[in-house]
Amino acid sequence: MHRVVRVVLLMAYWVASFMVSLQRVDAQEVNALGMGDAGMLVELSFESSADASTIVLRGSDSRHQMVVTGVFSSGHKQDVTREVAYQVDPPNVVSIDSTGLVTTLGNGIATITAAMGSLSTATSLSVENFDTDPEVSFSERVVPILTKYGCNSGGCHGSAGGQNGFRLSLLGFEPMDDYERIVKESRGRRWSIAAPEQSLLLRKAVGTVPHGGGARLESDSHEYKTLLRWIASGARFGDPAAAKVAKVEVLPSERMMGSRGQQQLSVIAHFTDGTTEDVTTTAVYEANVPEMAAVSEQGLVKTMAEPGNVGVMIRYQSKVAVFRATIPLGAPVDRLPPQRNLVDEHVFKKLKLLGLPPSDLCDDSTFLRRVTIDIASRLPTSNETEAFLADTNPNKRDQWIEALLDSTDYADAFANKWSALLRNKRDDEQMELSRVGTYAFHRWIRQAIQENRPYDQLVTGILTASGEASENPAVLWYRGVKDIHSQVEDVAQLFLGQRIQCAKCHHHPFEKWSQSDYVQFSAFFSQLGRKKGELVSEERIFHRLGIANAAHPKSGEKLLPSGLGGTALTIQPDQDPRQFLADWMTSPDNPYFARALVNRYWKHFFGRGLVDPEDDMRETNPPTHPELLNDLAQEFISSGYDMKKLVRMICESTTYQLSAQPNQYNVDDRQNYSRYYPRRMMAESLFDSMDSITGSITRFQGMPANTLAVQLPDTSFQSYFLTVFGRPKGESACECERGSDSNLAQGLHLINSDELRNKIAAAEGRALQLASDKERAAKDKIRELYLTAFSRPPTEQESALVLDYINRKSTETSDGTKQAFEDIVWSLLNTKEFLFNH
Amino acid sequence: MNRVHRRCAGPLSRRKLLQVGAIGLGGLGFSDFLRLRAHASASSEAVSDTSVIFVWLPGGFPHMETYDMKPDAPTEFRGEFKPVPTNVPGIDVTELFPMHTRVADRFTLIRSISHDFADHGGGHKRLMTGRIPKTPVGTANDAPAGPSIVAKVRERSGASLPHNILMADNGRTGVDVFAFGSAYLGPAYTPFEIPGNPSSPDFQVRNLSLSSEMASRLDDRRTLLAGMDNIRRDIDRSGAMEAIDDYNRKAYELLTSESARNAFDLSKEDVAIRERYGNHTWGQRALLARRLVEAGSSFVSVVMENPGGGPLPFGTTYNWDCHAVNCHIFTDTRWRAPFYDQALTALIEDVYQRGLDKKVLIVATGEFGHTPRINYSVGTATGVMQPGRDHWPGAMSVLVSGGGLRMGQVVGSTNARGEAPKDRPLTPNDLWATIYRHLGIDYHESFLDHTGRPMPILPFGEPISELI
Repeated sequence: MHRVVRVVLLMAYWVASFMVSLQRVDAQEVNALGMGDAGMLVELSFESSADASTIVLRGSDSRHQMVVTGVFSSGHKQDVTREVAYQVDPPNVVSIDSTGLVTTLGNGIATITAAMGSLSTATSLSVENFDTDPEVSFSERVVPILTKYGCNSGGCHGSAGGQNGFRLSLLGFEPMDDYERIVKESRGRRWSIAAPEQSLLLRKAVGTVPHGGGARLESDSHEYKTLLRWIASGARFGDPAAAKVAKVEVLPSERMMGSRGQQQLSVIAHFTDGTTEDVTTTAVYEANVPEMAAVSEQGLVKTMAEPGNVGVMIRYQSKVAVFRATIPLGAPVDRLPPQRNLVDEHVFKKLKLLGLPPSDLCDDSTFLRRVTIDIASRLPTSNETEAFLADTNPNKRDQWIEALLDSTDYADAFANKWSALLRNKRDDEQMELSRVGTYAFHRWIRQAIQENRPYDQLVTGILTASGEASENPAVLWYRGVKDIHSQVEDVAQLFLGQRIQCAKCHHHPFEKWSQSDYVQFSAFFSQLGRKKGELVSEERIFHRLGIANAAHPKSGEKLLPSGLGGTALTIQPDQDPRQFLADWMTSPDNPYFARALVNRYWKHFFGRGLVDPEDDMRETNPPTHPELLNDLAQEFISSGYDMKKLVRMICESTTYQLSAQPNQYNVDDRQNYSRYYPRRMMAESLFDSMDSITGSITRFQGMPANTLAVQLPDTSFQSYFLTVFGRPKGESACECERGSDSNLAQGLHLINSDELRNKIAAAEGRALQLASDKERAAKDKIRELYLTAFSRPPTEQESALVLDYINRKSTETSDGTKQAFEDIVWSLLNTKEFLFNH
Repeated sequence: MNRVHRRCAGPLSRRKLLQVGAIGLGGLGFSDFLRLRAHASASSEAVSDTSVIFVWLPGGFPHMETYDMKPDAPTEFRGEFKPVPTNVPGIDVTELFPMHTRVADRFTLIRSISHDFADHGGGHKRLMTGRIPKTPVGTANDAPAGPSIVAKVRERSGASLPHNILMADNGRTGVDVFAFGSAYLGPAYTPFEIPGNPSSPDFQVRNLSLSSEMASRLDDRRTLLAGMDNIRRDIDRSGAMEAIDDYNRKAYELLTSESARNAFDLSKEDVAIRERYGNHTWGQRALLARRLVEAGSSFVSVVMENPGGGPLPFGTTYNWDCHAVNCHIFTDTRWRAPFYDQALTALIEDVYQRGLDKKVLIVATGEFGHTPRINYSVGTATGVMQPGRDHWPGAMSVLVSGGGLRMGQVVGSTNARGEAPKDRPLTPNDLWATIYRHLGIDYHESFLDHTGRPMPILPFGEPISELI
């Protein structure tokens, strides 16, 4: 529907363009759809860095990307870099092309004017060292080119083994090593000062000799010329003490953009000596949602049709920056469902900003089923559903949430979640011996969830655990997470939302974390001692006396412990450094701890993190709702890290209770929560739900009767069903280990397995019981089945269809009625309405 | 036509990798992967009809008793059996493999593969994943096994059969037991398991056998389901509902289509052929494997542990793990060798006779060899002192056949006592590079692990040049 509207609007613009003034036409053309009428262009301005007001281009091959912004009477700001006319005065200093790219012509100061209609704006810049080009620095000039063109990427020469005998450090983080390899290895064949054009480095890059990576550079490109000049001038490393990049800045850093709109970016590198340089053409760009925006190598962002937020990661050397675009849909949002708490406040604010009308509130059946699956990992019973639907209390939804949180089902569900993330599982080699401790740790986790132990205490209890499992089951975390690297990486990913694994061996390619950060974090675990416990499979964990520190693998320097981005701590030999780590993490000022948890729980209930993946909260992977994330985290901290309260707030929100049914505008929405996003039930809930619908009982080996899959203390229980439906093995601290994809084995299992067949036809099962019940009307039985599987009564039509089936089958064979009920149960289990939480 | 271009894809988008890797969204992932591959190599799709039959010999194939005899080594090394010549001069095999001697022109022996993992867990992981395992023990692999990679890459190719099929004994079918896990590729790429003994008269393929009564009911059920499965599909934009519908269609096809069902039905084979393979677990698994690759599966693993499926004769053990504590190595090998000789050579002959030798590559390997020096110990089961060999990753022998590769040769050799590669030292990765090349899979491509790190399919390794 809205596509049609857009086409009509577009045609209207074309027609209008013939009739109104020139200035108005320009404004119309740049006025992207979805943002409403921009109005008249009222102002032009060059984007400029706040820290560096004067632009200086040093050397003849220096460049600068201009970005011109038009301000419209509506207040909209839009990129007009490619729409304005440029003029340079005097003309012999620089030239500027129609894309706003400035190149040098000679030393001096020039003024660039950008004009559109009657409006104009001007800026000045200077060119220095035009005739005396500064030496081409290997680390500052050559390496970024190798990065931009992928030479040092992990799939190419940056891989651990290099390619074809030529190896570079990953993404150029070790320029000294790269220099040695280019200049000294391979008997110096890679460069030639006598005939620079014949250098292997260049011939491979342009593809004049066979190159596994193909031609990557044009021989008339700026980058080629830079490499050529570097070689011709002696291929020197340059001054190792020269200024380094301190940060990169992107202009603009945020923008409201129309769908199918565009925005030129300008990327400024700030050096340690205070100078700045435009690196737009050498920086590397990547959109975090490629379906929403694409970025050219020159930093031109083009948005697509999907509304919402998209971030563009900008990487230059070891520094990163982010450009955030908000792409509105522009539909009228005049009717919003009731706003219940801060969740709705932020989500609805965003929906209004985007012009993305939300779906309606879901009905009672949908709510009941959804929230029961999400909090308690089970389906509501038919009795619970009947009672809930009949209840006229306006607060019944809140009351039900409360009841679920008070139930042991909540503890089972979340203990199951945390137990896998904490990698609580039996030792492969000592299955039987390690069972006791594994069960004890599961009980410990479940107990903590049940009594709503504050999250900071829960995590502290795990991190600082000492002793043996029989005294303190939490030490079992150190059995599953054995070596220091796993400890560092699990803590960072699970509790801080930071994936710092990369920094173990090299600077993190998409984050600020360096190898030193990793090492300093690892120093918290440097004094962890283990000795034989009373049980073979259990170790005693203790603090080894000594000053916590860890050696940098490259420099060998002993580094003191420090939280990520924190300050180095000198910890007394008799103090357990893990306590200091826990204190740093659980301090209210910690920038990661609370955010990581609320984001993780958000994802649990919405199927998508405010930052997604939920444990990859890098600066370059920005949240869709930054204020919401902050407020949720703050609220969580001030509540005393109350997990139940967080769940309550999320589930009570209107946002969580929106219908999944799209309206005419929001079918494509996948990140703004304008409707609920359905998800397949997880393996354990599916399994338990199958049992509750078929009325059969599964006995897990060694467990009491009626133990549910979600109550199993670890993942070592053999179950083909649970395996094919994606139960995690507890091998990592990543929720992504849980599989949600579908596959053929699942299909075959649901359709034709002995397991399901036996459950459906079980002697104690629901099908047989309904078939042999002569008292109740078939209609009532159908109602019971629908209430059990879908938490709603059947429609008239559905009821008639099923009734018809029973009648037909019962006349066919002697056990036709039984078969009919089995077939109905089979069909229920195979519907998407059953398989999904929606 | 099998060329895998050695081209790196350049600065691949992290997000694209993400879709290909850990977090593939329903049906979206593969088209991106194809796009990436197209970017990397134009030829990858040209060989999508090739396949592999992977004969897995868990416990470790004793190289000194089989393919790498050392008759001139001191007694404590050489063992009881004698080498015999084959129809290819220069290729000798154990006297226990008489049928091998007639088809040596149709296989190549690789004698110089080695690695460093001496535990079954570590060895399985090392062999199956083409990576250095993070832990030297335990079979839950931290990287996807080769067959899972194949299933991932081939997932959208036309065949109705699964692309990663595993035939293993009942009770040991857990994928982790054999390091056949899919790790960060997710459970969708674990093997489709066919437990049980296909030579047994009541053998049925799990979840695939449909009685005639159930066959007619399935039609009724599908009709009923169509009437009941009413939820609006437009509520899901993730592709997950659509993917379920797709897979269910495939499942129905497997259950009901004649050709798919036939692929699993050994009774369609001539009695003579069935007997040639041998009326035992190994033989009938090998035959079933041939039927399955013929019907379009890409990778079928045939596990050969207990050949008869029945009780173990005195002095033998469950699989190839011929420690003295487990078995009398010579008794054990003498017992199991004929089953292997029969099944494997039947497979080789059959593949060649049917003209499948370009399309189908047969690989037979265990996780390592066994110690060149024989040692003695009291057997747990026998209670008597007996000879055996312990784990030895320092040298192992692998047989390959077909795949359009150069047959009738021996690649590499070990030293005089069979302890270590003497020339052409190779790694399990070179074997996998050869396998991936045959399947047209660019093993330089990466998948993202659970931390978002791009992991190349093989971090090192080259196709074995002598075979090409």
